[in-house]
Amino acid sequence: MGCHENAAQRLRTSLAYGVIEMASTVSRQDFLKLTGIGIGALAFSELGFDLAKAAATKRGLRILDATESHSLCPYCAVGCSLIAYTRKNASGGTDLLQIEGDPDSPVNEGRLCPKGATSLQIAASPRRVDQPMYRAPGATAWQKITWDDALNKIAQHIKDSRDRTFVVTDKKGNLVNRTDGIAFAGGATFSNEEGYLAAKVARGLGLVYLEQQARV
Amino acid sequence: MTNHWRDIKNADVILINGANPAEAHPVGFQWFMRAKLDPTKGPGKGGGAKMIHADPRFSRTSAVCDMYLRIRTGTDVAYYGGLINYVLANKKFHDEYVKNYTNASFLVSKDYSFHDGLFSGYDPKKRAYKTFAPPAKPPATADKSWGYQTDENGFAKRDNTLQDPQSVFQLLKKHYSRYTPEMVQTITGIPKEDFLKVAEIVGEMGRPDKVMTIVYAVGLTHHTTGSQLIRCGALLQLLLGNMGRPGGGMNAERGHANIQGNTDNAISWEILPGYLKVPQPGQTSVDDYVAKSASKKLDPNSWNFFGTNYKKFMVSLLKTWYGDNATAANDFAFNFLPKPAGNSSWLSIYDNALQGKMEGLMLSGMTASSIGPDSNQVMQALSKLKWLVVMDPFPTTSSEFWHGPGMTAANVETEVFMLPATHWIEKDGSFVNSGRWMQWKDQVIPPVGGAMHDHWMLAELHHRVKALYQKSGGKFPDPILKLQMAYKDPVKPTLDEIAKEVNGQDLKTGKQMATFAKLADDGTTTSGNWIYVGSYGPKGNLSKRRMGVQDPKKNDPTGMGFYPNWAWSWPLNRRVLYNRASADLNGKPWDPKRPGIKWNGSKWVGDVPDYPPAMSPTDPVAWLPFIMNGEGVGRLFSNTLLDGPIPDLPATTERGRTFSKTLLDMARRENMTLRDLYNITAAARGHWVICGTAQRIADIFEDWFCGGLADGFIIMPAYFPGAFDDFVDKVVPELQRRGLYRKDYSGPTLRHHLGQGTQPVAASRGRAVS
Repeated sequence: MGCHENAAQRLRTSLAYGVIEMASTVSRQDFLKLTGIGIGALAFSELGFDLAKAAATKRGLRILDATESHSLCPYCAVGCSLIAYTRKNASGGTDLLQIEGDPDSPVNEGRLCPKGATSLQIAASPRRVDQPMYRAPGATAWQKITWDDALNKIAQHIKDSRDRTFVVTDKKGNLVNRTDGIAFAGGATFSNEEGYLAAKVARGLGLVYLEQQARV
Repeated sequence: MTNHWRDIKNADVILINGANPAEAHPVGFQWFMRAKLDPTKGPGKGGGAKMIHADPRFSRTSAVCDMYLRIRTGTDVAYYGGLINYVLANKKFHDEYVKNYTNASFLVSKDYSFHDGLFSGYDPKKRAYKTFAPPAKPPATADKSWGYQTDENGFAKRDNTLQDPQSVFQLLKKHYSRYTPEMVQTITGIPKEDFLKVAEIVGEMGRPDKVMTIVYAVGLTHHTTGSQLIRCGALLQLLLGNMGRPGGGMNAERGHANIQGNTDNAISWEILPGYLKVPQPGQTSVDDYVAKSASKKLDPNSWNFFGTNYKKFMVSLLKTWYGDNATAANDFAFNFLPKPAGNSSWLSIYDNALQGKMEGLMLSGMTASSIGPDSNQVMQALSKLKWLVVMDPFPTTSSEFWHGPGMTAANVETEVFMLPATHWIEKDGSFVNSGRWMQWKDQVIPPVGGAMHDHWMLAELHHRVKALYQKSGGKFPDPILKLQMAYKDPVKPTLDEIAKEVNGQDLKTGKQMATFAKLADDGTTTSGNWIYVGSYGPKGNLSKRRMGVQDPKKNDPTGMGFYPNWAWSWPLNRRVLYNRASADLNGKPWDPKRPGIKWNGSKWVGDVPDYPPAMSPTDPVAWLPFIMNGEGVGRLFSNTLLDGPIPDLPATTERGRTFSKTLLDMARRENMTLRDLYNITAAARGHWVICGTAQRIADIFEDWFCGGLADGFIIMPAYFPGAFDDFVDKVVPELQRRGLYRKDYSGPTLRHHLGQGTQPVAASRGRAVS
């Protein structure tokens, strides 16, 4: 039950986050006006200005002098092209301003589904883990660990497990040279090149338990 | 996909099974809708493509389809089988295509039989077919009844009149004659009248000037009968002459951004990059491996391209991985490659962990405990590991398993590492979409906080493990010490460097390879994945190309939507696989309005030909159209699957044999009628399916519960996790309103609630053991 409540809580948070994101692309004032459309549509149309033009101008200002980069949607396998706009900020960092569909793509012709259109949320998510964490055997909490320590510990584990479970010849006397005690599973949002390197390194370590999202 | 997303607009009929593209692939779905709204497409005189959706669930896809068929879960073989029977019995197949481009005329061994749901060669003790073996060298014990009758050269005998009773065509006809519209109705629940309406539309797609596409997703693949379901569709497409044609093909809608690419690159236990089989124990050399893995030429005019070049692809891969350490003298380091004991797929990882055989697990962008039939068991499995590494931008159910439901952290001895990874927009690299289009993306923003790229973590780990072996030695260190990591910075390779490596180079000239036709088996070429040769050739990284719809006239010269200078698709930038079959024997497109490739008198033009570019179709030694397999033609009958050469109902599935045997035994023991059996098994394989509004579902629960027929229900929602929410939010309040469901809990466990109190731990263990 507890698990379920957490999931529901997360869902609510992410929905709220979505709303905030939407609101920030309009302005608070426009947003209030838009929410009023349902009741005062007639009055609104009589205001005599073209909101679409205003919105377009504002969108233009949002990405003024921004750097345009080409990306792809990280979600499904349709492969929609994205245009991402960034700008250097005062503190030397890079702000990701906007992500939109790439109109040149023969796949999506500029269109995006709701997930792709809100991919900015995953790009700049407050849920990211920002440093390596370690949980010792029997520990009840995470503790921080440096990259160097984490990688050294894991490398030692890989070596020890490999040495303990390595099979040179099987019962029939066949030369098999495999590591039975370590498995690797890779996701499907790896770049193609990362996936290739993962397979190469894993086979190099003698792994045979090598699986990924496509199996399931 | 044999074709690609944009190509779906070229179809006259779109047959959708086990997929919901309107919701799951909405932007790809625009191409379905464009076909539907295009008056030049469709059966008869056109008026728009017809979309037909067979699915147990009415979805937003069904809502816009011309016909929706409520099919009983997992019975798609009967649906497709019925269509195949209709096409064969009513002579709706594409005659010339079937005769020349499929193995319909091939003669099968006289020992082949199909009786009582079982093919010849069945071993009841092992509950498996003895016939299955790699095609080239079946072991002496193998039953050969699934093989072809061969001549003195080892080529398959053929009867081009298709009349021989052992011809694939006649066997197929006989096999599917059982799938009458009545039987389809009985098994699938699709009314006969609706089925016949669909059959008529589908049958028309056997005309050369019409074309149908079949689109599917995990709704087919996830069944135990998945392989046969998809083969059934492919078989139907071959009979209709729709494979290899724009607007045709078998098109799997894949789920994740690079799931296609990572399948190609083989993060899969049973293959190496480029779909080379993983070496098996007992294969002692590259030559032995190739002899046991590569397909054998079965017709004098078959090119058998894959089989013929298998060794070149394998040696080039080994050369890429082991560089100067892979030489002819050491058989190109063939022995460095691990050989698995047996099936090492996803579930076996956790089975082994539960048995204490698996010490460590690395999860990179994939969580273990949210995937598979039993999350709790996976969590138990994770708690049996010595160490677990999770590389992910976000915390996952796996990284947090040790304090998850049912876990007492203090008792979990697994060491867990959470390594924050960068995500897609913080690095460059390519994604390969469902349509095999490899598209490059830029690094848009720098990594956030302390995150590291996955490939740098992997390179770092390799580097550090290597250092440990160099320092202190260990079990057979050569495959680690000698692995080629020749990047400018071995612990920080760039994805550009890796993309170049995947493409490969000619070691004699140092130039990037332009085509896999030039790969060699003597160690003079490299390629990390032969199907990607050409993606990063001498002209650079072609996946970055961007000549798209900004200028359709210039960028889509054929008007077929290939856009050859937008990104790159494997193999060789080909947009429709098997496209030689899009043209007739003389090289003329079956449908001149929808050409794939055509012979212009001196070369093939259109899409990148799946054929030698200058081979005249009228040349007496012209290759047959399907260049990848030994037959040279599409396989209506295939001896390469574990569960039978012709798709059939679950009696012959790869994994369903135990269940079907149980049922068959029960049916015989209890003298059941077909209807009795159907009542037990038809819906969800013995489980009971209820569809309806919350109130309707509550009605059924109430009937059963108040009628004393059940004292509880185990809920299996149609999808996870949302359907649980639907149940909790909609059905539970209704049950509570009727006083049928508790509103509160009387204790912390179900036992308490049922008035059983706390069970002594020892007693519980004792019972579990007995």
